[in-house]
Amino acid sequence: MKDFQIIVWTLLLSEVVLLAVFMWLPVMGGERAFFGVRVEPQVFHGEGRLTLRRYRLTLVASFGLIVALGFYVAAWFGQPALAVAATLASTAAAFLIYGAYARTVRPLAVESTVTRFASGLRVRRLADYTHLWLEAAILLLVGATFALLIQYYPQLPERMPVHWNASGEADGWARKSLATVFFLPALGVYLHIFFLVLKHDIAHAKMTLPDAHAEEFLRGKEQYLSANMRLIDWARASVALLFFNIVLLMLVTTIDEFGRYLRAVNIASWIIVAGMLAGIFYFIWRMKRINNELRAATGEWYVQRPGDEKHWRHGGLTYYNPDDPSLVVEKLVGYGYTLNMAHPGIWARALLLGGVPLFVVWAVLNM
Amino acid sequence: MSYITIDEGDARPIYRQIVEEIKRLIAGGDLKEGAPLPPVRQLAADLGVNLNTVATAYRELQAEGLLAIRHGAGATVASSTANDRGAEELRKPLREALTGMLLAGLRRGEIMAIVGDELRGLLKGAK
Repeated sequence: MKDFQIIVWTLLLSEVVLLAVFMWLPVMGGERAFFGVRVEPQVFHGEGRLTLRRYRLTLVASFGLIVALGFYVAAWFGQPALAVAATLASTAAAFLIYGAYARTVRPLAVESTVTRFASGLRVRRLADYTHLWLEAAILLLVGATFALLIQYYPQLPERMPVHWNASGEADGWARKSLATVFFLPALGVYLHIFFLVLKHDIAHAKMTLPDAHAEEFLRGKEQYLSANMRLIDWARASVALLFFNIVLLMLVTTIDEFGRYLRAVNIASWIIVAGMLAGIFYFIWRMKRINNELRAATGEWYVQRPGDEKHWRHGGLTYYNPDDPSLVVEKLVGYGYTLNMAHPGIWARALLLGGVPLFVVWAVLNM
Repeated sequence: MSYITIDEGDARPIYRQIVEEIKRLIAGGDLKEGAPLPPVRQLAADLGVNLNTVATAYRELQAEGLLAIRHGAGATVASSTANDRGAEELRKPLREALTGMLLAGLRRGEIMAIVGDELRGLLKGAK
């Protein structure tokens, strides 16, 4: 019962965060990205306000209905899975509502007047955003994770814990095998490879500079890029720590002599997760501040060629532009970077993101 | 820090603008011999132009001996002086520009001031 409550409260909390994000999404970029399109300031402050109010009402009503119904049924049957389903359904509904309103705003779009662009001819490489000490630390942690498992593999019981509840007690089990024992650290290695590919791509992200404020923009966007890189590095370090800690949890819940460390290891996992989230929020806040400073200095925070503007879809959430040679572009709505879905490189990334995990699941099931 | 500028409203093709802008930086000393230029892909992405546009510009600069392009290593400034061109060939565009200014009704003193300004602007980064 206690676990059910924790799951439901976590889900409810994420629902509140989700709702807040969707409420804010259309106006995140002001009149430059109202539902993802540039509109006149008088439209933004005039009829745009009405559209925004209708959108928010629809959003709150649908969210409230789906969540109330879903969680009530979940509590009735005592099935947390139903609460998860309600959360997914409300997310899908939010996207649909946002997309529908974005379509109504699209005819109001006006073209950007910036036609002169600059380049600082600066060469950017992944190496510029790599710290050797961090790479060494991550490698050491990953190595230690595997070393611990290899060292204690013979002592592990036939019935292996693979899932733990909020207080660190095992509640999911599997038969001991190389696959069940090494699945988690292998997943960690996969995540590290994924993050490195992500960093490499982001290092080569498009950096459009308006000629009028080339210098301020170059400085701002380079800070923005390095804040995003540090966000990824923070996530990488957290993932390395987290998987090391999961292996510790595996050992303290199965090998008697380590049992007394259970409490410490369990507290450590909460600290790592909290630290990871705090860091991610901090760096997103940094990126927001950098863009705000840029806007204060130049009146703009995002410039793009007039020809590129109309290639944003789904209310500025996705970018599909076959004429744009860049794979990674800064998000128009939100913070960070997104992919140009029309770029041929997208297939290799999709394979890495979706294909590898699917293959692993298939391999484990057939072992 | 020096920048090259592309104007979408300009009648000149984009690749010509890139060539002339990079030449301006080399002539002015902002880009010195051996200085690396961004890969074609990155410059195309930053300026939001086609890959071929930037590649054409780089090839033209290479043909003039200003750029060295090695596969894998990228493009670097090869020389700060373009291949020898005859004195007459160099004078021709200047004569055309001066003709334009005279036709626009500018006087000798004004034209000299413009020429001096432009030359100072170019040489600003030279030291």
